[in-house]
Amino acid sequence: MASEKEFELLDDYITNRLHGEEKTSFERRLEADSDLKSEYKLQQGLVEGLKKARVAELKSTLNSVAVPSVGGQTSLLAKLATSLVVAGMVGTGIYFFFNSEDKEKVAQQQILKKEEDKTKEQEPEPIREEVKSQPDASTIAPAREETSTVKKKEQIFSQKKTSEAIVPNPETTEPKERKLEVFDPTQDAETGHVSKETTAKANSATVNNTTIAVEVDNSNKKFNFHYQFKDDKLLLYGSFEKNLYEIMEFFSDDNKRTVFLFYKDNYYLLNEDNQKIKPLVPITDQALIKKLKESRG
Amino acid sequence: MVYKSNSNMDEKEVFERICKGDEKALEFLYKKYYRMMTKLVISNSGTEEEARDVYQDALIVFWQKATSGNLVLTSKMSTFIYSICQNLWRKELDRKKRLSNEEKDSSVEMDTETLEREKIIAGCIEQLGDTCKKVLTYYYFEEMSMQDIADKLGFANTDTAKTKKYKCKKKLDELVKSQYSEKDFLD
Repeated sequence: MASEKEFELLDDYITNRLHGEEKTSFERRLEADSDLKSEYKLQQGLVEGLKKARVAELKSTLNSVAVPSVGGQTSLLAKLATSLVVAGMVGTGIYFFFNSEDKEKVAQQQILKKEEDKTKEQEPEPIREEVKSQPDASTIAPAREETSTVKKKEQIFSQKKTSEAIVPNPETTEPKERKLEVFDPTQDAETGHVSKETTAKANSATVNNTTIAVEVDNSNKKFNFHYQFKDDKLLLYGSFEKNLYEIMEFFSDDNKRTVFLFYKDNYYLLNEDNQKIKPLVPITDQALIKKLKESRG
Repeated sequence: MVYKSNSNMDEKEVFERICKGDEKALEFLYKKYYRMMTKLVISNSGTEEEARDVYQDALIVFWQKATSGNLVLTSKMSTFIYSICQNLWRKELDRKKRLSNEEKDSSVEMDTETLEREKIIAGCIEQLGDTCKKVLTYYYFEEMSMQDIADKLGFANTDTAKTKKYKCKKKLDELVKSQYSEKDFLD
């Protein structure tokens, strides 16, 4: 195998790049020439080795990606925090209602979530009852707000249940133009500062299920009530696991995300502009607080 | 009320980026469907580790097909990946079943010389420079076009990519052959 041409020809054969007459004539030579044959085996070994090395490399890349916890990979603390978030957001009653084994209803709500035009009347009964049993919210909030509350609860719930009951059926044909629900951290940088406009934003925005992975670090002495967005994760510094906290995500029509934290009766804006550790400062704008309260229900 | 996804990166964009060998897009996809795909295995008597393994393997199959330009997607990416997961897990379950029936898997036993050769090749690949390694893996595994390889690695043109590929392969060839002759593997 001296010449470059021969070397490349063999290479093309191994990588299935030879066709027709070229291929058959090469195969004939391969049968007749034992030197060529042993060279072929060696080159094939190299290509196999390269492929294996690449697969191993890709696997290790994927292994280092932070994935939504199904169990296993994230720490127990993170899992605990997540379940606290869910429990806090959903409210005990609804939580236990959905925690029952009624998977069919659960699946139905998942569908409901996706059906944009569902009117309030079509919402599943039990949820409406639950909302009504709360201190008469409708007197404070207009009817439209109530709908949004109901919707939000479902969605938050479905986030929790995804790991247990719902496998969205990929066979389901969806309209082709449907947006792929991929979280793109590069979008975060675009998230605008929250000004007073947030009030309006929170009002018109769509509330989605929280997809933020949360981790709590209570060992840092310097940062005892701080937060940080890092590698798609939200890190809370302080002794958060002792109390319930909620992460609220709002998406405006132009897909900008605004994130709030609710903790011990206060609301905090979580600015995603950079990965710096920032102190948590309670929101004082009464109008905004009111809107956030209404969203939480 | 409009249901919004949390990103405006749509299916088409992700797929195009994957076809170009953009690993960041692969990571997004991995994260996005992690629960959905691992659930398939876990709910069919698999452990979480097996589920992750199967999902990763399936995603890599998808990735390879996409980067090589051999994939015309007629369904959603998730549908396609899901069906690969199903196949892989079915195969794995079959293999397990056979294993428990026959007590010992006799078919896949490799002789020590083959293993030794593989080890040598893996070691030589590690010795290659980073660029060489990339050129070769993109060419042989991803089966990317010379144009895509040139774009990705910042080469001036496809000729540069071709020359690089040839030289790197030759280098690997020489490394392996010198080790083989030490071990008396060359006949």
